[in-house]
Amino acid sequence: MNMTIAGNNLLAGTGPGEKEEARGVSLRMDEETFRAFYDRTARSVWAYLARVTGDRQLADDLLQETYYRFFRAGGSFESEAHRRNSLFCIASNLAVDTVRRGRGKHHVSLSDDPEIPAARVEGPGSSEWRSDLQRAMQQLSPAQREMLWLAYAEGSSHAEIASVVGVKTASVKQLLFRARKKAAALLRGSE
Amino acid sequence: MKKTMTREDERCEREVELLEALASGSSTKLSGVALHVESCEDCRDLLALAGAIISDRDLLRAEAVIPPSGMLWWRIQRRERDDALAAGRRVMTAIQGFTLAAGSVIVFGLAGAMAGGMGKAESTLRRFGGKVGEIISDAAVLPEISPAFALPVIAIAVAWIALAPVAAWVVLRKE
Repeated sequence: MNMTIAGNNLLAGTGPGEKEEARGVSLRMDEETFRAFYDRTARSVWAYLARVTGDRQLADDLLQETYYRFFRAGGSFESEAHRRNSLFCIASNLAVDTVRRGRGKHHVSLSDDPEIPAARVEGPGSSEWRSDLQRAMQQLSPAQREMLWLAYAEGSSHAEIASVVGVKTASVKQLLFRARKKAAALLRGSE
Repeated sequence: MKKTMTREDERCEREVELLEALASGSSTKLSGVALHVESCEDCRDLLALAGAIISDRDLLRAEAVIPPSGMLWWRIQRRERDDALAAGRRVMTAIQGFTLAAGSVIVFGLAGAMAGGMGKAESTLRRFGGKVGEIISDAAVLPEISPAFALPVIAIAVAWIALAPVAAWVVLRKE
């Protein structure tokens, strides 16, 4: 059973530059297509990078690098979802490599950032739920953070999660369950 | 309070329903599983975690300060151009190095062929460039040149071999 939630409308936004890709022709995106794709996906990618690395400034750097590499890679995509997944693959590789090199250690606590406005979205539980979540996520491995985010924030399927994280599809179910139990225990411990 | 002993293959069958309710944000759907969540530890944990992640996602997306798409496109184009120039410079450097090495061999060969009666220098140059000089001499492409002209010719040849790649690089760089 695929224990992830339904995702966003992943087939939105097709243009002339994308028709060729829909037929599986290997093309680089033209400017219009690229910019439209960027506008649709950039905030999601940034949020993903910020949560996986735990560093907003690092997420800023990695965001641009992600799109640069995605553009240079080119490639053909069967669908918007496929293209989006490829983008997250690149982001994931960059984030994990950076965290392993130690750049993600000195992260900015979201709750301490004075620029963060008052929460416009009600979060669950206590008013410090966001700090609790961040602390819990930081105690997980990068792969676990990725899986939880992709499953619950992005609504990715197990196959998509597997391709991004670099594990077998059959392993995602078990790994995701373990990550979920660990994160939930950490959240309970924060209450 | 119901405690659910779960193994990885014995998860609550209402988890999918809970996740769909969270994803939709529908209060109706959420209220539909609320009673169950109160009695199921697994679903309670899932609600806390997935709910927090979804809310965090919405906040992060709203807070993200990302460069405009036009600016990013421009930066990517510029970086591609810079990368191409850097690759071109590397090629030019390699060509220049090869040309200098080849030129050195030719220069010594020319010097060996044209040294004539330069005494001690002749024997030294002939030792280094003897073979190449013989080849050039045998080809009879060089006229009879007196030793007085040999050094200027050699100097011009060396200068040309050394400076030609640099001049080409400067021209290409300006383009």
